[in-house]
Amino acid sequence: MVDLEKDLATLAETLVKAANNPNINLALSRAVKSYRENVNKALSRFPHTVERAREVREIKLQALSNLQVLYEKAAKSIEENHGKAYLAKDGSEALKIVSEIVGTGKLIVKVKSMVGEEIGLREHLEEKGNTLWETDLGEFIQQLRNDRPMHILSPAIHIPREEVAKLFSAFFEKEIPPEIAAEVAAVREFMREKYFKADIGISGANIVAADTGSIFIIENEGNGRLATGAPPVHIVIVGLEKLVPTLDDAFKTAEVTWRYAQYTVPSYVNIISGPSKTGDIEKVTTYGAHGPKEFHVIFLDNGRLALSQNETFKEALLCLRCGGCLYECPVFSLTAGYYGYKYLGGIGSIWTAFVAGGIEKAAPLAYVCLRCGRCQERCPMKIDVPRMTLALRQILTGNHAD
Amino acid sequence: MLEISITPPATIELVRQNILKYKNPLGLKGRELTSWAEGLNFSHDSEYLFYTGTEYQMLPYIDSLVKALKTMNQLGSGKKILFGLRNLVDKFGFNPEKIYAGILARDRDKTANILRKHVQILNSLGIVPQYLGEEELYAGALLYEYGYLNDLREIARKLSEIFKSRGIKKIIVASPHAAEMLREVYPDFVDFPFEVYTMPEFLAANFAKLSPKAPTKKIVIHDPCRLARELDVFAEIREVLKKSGYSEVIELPQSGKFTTCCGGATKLLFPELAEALAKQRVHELEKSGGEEIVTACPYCYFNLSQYSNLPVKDLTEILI
Ligand code: SF4
Repeated sequence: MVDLEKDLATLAETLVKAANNPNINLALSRAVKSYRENVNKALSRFPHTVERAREVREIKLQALSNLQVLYEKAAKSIEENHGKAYLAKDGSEALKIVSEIVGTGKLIVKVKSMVGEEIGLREHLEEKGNTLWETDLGEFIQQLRNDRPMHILSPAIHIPREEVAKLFSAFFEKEIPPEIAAEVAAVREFMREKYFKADIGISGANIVAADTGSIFIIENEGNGRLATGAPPVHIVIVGLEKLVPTLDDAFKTAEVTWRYAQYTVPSYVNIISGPSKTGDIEKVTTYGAHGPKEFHVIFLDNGRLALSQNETFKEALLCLRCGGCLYECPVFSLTAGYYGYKYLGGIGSIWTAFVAGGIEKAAPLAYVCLRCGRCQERCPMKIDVPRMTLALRQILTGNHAD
Repeated sequence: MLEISITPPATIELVRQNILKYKNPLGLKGRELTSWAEGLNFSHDSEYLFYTGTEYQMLPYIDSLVKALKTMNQLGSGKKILFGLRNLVDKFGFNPEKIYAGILARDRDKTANILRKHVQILNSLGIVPQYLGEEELYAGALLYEYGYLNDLREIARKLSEIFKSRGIKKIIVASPHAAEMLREVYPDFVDFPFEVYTMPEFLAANFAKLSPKAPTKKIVIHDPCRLARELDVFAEIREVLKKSGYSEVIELPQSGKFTTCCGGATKLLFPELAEALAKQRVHELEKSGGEEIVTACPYCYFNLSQYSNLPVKDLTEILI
């Protein structure tokens, strides 16, 4: 039995506190403004994106009705490429698989991944006696603050540069001025040797093409290619919903994702299909050339397969994690990730109910959504969050016919 | 499928019981709901109905409700269960004479006046509509929002019977929330053979017969969420204003389909968050360069007026 009244009161307190936090206010108003400008500019420079988004919605809808088969196809391709593929039915199974590969006492560099957040990956690996560094700037800031991400793409969205400088000065034990360039440089210097000393690189993936077994990682910072390219082992953890049938579909999905994620044209799109190899000496293929020798891809179910069969809620799985909806959400713009559990905002409540957290955790969040509908206007997948929010509330009240 | 059982928050239960027991989320009754219509011209057999959904009438009382809810919430949930929700509704069930004694006549006149203008405009278009008066029921938008579909179905059934028994064919709806229920939701539940118009749609379609006031101030539009997105009505507001001589209205980038919430949607569950939302929107509107904010929804009108330094007007107030 969920005491919704109590949960709502607790949540209300958190939200109001966030809304009154001048740091969040300042950082979010800057972020929302630049998101809108960037995306509008990107869409007018590449106007075909809007039509392409429609196409990708269809591709992904199709894929959702076929996830198990797509997984099998992808797994086969990955194995053919001399990688290893796994299917984890839930978070603890995924952690077990990772642990078996990683072991203990290792140095790990990690690229931002919502799935990692979903299953508590960093905490788990640290508990097992490993050292793990988040290599995304935003995620690194949150790691130092011992805090969770406040936006799916910009985890430290709510921290203005002045705060970052204080944090870094304390951590690096030297004066870092409140200038973004200086802050970025400090992290670059710190992280550089980590990439080359690391035993393992861990990443998520934005898309997986089943036919070639290729994973896509879209990024700007360059940490993605270093962390997945330099260490001898690369582990990918990716939600099953990221599967699309072909490489062609994957390119289309990638373009739509990065455009709505305000990358316009990203500096890097990493496409990885297997371990590094060479055949330059006597045409004998040898694995582990300059890049990783081992390539592991762990597909995570954790409720996704069941959700893909649920007619009312399955469109939640179309989410590309572009983050666009969060910038348009009036509540998010006041409260950042305090409106959410692991997945954030209105779409996050649906994910909380079915994938990460469960319906008890989702219940109070489901009542925060204003059902104003602006997220859907922005969403490249046109995900109907207001409709699903209503359906979630109906489950909670039980006051409906079927 | 997910299985769960919850104890609903008392706030929701209170509003729900008010709607089911009385006819209105605040438990308003009698003249509180109908006095605005006194002295106006209505018909008993027109095919047109002017439907208020009792929403504009609630506005002057909302703050008292929010205050009363706060008092109630201080009881703590244990006490509330002890009391029994039914009793709570009776205890706080809004005997208007008592709880709302402090409502200013000025505030009541303001919203009554908006409804009166709706009817006067319809009259000037040659329409003398019916009004349900004491028979009128709230359309149930809050029940829909909070997830009480069975309750809503009941209301849909009752209302459609009333409409049929009065020979109504066309319904002009004052609030976008009620219009959403009537147009988008009721037809899923009941036979609902009526044409439903929001005021901006009706005005745009019949503008030729209207003789509006001359423009005075520079206008910035606040599109109500439900009106713009669910009902797809935003061009109509601009059309009406343009034809009324407003050669230039100020458009925020966050307008039309990208408009934002006035905070009203969450006023009962998260009143402080609602305040922050309203202020956020008012800030956008105030720095737009407009001298006057125009909207077409009772809750937007109410929430924005509370925090805005600019005058907030209903579309009908701009016209006559
Ligand atoms: S719901 Fe839509 S807008 Fe939001 S992150 Fe997912 S794809 Fe992007």
